[in-house]
Amino acid sequence: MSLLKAGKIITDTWTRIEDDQEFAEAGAVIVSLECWLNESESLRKRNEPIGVSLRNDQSPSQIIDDLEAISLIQLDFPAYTDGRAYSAARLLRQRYGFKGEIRAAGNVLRDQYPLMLRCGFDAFIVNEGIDLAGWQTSVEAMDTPYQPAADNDTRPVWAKRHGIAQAS
Amino acid sequence: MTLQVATANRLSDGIVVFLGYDGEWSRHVDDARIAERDDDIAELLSEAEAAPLVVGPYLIKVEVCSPEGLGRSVRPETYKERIRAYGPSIHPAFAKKMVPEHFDPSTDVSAVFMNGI
Amino acid sequence: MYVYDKFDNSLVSDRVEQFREQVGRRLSGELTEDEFKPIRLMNGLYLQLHAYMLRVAIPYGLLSSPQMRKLAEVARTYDRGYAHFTTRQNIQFNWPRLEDTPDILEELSSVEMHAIQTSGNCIRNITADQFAGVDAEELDDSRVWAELIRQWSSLHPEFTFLPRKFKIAVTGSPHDRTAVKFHDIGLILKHDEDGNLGFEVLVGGGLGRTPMIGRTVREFLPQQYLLSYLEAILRVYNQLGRRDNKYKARIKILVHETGIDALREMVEEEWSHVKEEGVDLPFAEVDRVRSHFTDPTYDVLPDHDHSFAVKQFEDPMFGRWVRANLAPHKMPGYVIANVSLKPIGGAPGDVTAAQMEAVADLADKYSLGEIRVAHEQNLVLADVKMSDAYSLWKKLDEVQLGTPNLGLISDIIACPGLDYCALANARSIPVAQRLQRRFADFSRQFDIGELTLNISGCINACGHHHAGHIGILGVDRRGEEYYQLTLGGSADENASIGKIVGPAFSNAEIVDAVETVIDTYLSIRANGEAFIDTYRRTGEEPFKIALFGEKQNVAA
Ligand code: SF4
Repeated sequence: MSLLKAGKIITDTWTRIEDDQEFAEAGAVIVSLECWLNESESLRKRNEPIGVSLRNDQSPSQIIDDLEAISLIQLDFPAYTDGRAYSAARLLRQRYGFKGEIRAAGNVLRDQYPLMLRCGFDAFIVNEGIDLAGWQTSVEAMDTPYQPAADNDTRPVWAKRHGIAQAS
Repeated sequence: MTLQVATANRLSDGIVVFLGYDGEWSRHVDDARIAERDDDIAELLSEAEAAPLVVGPYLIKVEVCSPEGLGRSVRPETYKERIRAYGPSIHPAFAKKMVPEHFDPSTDVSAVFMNGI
Repeated sequence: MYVYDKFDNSLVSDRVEQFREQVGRRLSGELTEDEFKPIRLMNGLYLQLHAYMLRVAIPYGLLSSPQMRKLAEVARTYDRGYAHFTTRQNIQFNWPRLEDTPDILEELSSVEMHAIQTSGNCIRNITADQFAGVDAEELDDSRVWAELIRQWSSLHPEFTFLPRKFKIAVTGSPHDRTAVKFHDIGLILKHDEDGNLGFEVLVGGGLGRTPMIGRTVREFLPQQYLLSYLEAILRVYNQLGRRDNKYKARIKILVHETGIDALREMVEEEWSHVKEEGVDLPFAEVDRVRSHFTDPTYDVLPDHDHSFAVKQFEDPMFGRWVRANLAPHKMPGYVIANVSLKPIGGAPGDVTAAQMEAVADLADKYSLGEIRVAHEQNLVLADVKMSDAYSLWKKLDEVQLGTPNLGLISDIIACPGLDYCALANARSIPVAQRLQRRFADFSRQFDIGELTLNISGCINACGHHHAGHIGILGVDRRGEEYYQLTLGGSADENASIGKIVGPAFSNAEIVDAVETVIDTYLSIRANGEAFIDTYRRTGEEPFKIALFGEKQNVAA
């Protein structure tokens, strides 16, 4: 798998730690929500960047008080047809003001990529060797949205129509 | 004893097709290659599944009738597959051109279906 | 009607180009069918029993005459010369070729039409009242709100992969013609005590396997909060709607399992945030959209027209058509004309290219160039002068569109059924045709009076069988087509769900069974009582006895 961020494939500096796995001495880790809730103290003590991975049936409301300690939240698409994580991403960005990375994992496909961007995802775990130019084209094909979402720089059509600068 | 043929929809236009003896897909169920023995049936299916340019291949059960002097005619077992094979029953004009021999193209197709061909 | 600006146009044409490229990738083999299927579905392209089927959106059922001509041209050039109007005010082409679909969509975009969100688990085409803007009783024009919702819901990034499809209806009239209570969200325009405009919001209505009538989630929602409230409902549903079982995934099941009060609490809590987050439109945008639906300049006409009255006596068929198919218009001297797509023995909702062109021409000549599509699979010419009604009817009749049967027993709603649909258990259209022939006599139809007869080819209920006074549902019984009868459904403001009576009937028996029901009604009705009122008075018993005999008490 590769990591796509800001239109480029980059090296992933994060390590996913399964619940029964030991943490390495150093390095940024992504843990499950359960692990975070049980071991947040020891994780904080490590003094390394913390990422939390939410399953699609786990609500981000469970970590809103911890967001200052969390640098990355990974949301899961077990199938591209399961759209729960879109709502989770928007809530994190728009309501809870999360500024860290929101990562899409699982069945992440080109035709859903623009929707994910609009909902506040900014990193994507994708198959090796994707056609980056093609992915970029699908974003450009949707640059005049009808409705505001979590991408604050994209004004909805009605704001453009009436010369309103900011969506919210 | 079950007789089976492989069917699918053609990728380019979605039209119902049947895998024939020559390995080509035909619009007409009468052209379908019939498999009877288990291994032939399995081979038919795997051949159909490997074919490009068709969508959703699967097997259906058929009967073969040979009305006198009219050659072979293949009849799918279920009414759903008969409608698939012969075309909509409500617009005779849209029925498959080469309908099975016991099926007079000038008949009102819906009436024929109602009598349970 | 609404006219696209440069933003609307670019969104639709971008989409056509994107789909052209995707179809190219499929035909070249770069995309597998599994990868391509969700893409084609998002563009309204299904693979049906015999061929592909393209469903084109007709937003809230409104068409201009050039749009209708374009649909005719598509039917003639790319299909087999006909098309089918659906129970969701859309149109379906039954025989398009995959490789032609990008061209078809491009043709459609030239008249501001598309197939976006006519399939898939997203917010579908918005239903509105086919009499919007011309109905004297209406509180507000439902098209304005339907258009605003259309825009908000188009390619919504958060709500494109919901647990299941999502249907919204808006009605502005006390007499509901949209089946508002059978939608995932139903919006009923109303005034509060101070005269402010807003909506009663219903949630969780639907047909299908588990028919349910929508429940009120909010008694009054001020108009300016419409979009934020919808967003709140959709977000709760997107997160909590079931995804483990496709038959339990509609919002009606969430409402049922959570309870309306608990759901209301969640929605209101969510809304208390969403309404602060900039989703709602500025008034200027609402006004801009509203300005597309202002009244045309009507002629000042007298209330009555002499020739209109005389012709009804001279030509009894016209008299019947006036009685059944015309409805009062808010302006004096005008009428609303319903164009029946249910000729005796035809396929309900099917029209040929020539008929579409004829309707477009007649709309230009007699009805300000607009056509509406009703969910009953009929068309409406909404602004006809009484003095033109006879000429209009004559010309409709020449192209088999003058059938005087609106709201009568032969005005049957029927889904495509097994003749086209890959999901069907049984055929619908031939049953509709046989019923129409059985009840072909118009004096008999008028004697039977107001009646809805709806047929679905399977439990998905596209033919709204549970919402028909008489409903017929196709089932498969040991490889044979069988038909289950339901009685007592109703889709209007007094919505009710039809009840199954007894065991299913065979293909050969079903028409007789319906006739037995009708004869029973005729023998027990009180003076002037419509079928549904008799049924509500007597219950199913007399009908059951007539169908199955005294002692029979067979469970369905
Ligand atoms: S009700 Fe069933 S048969 Fe009829 S159109 Fe819908 S899915 Fe097809």
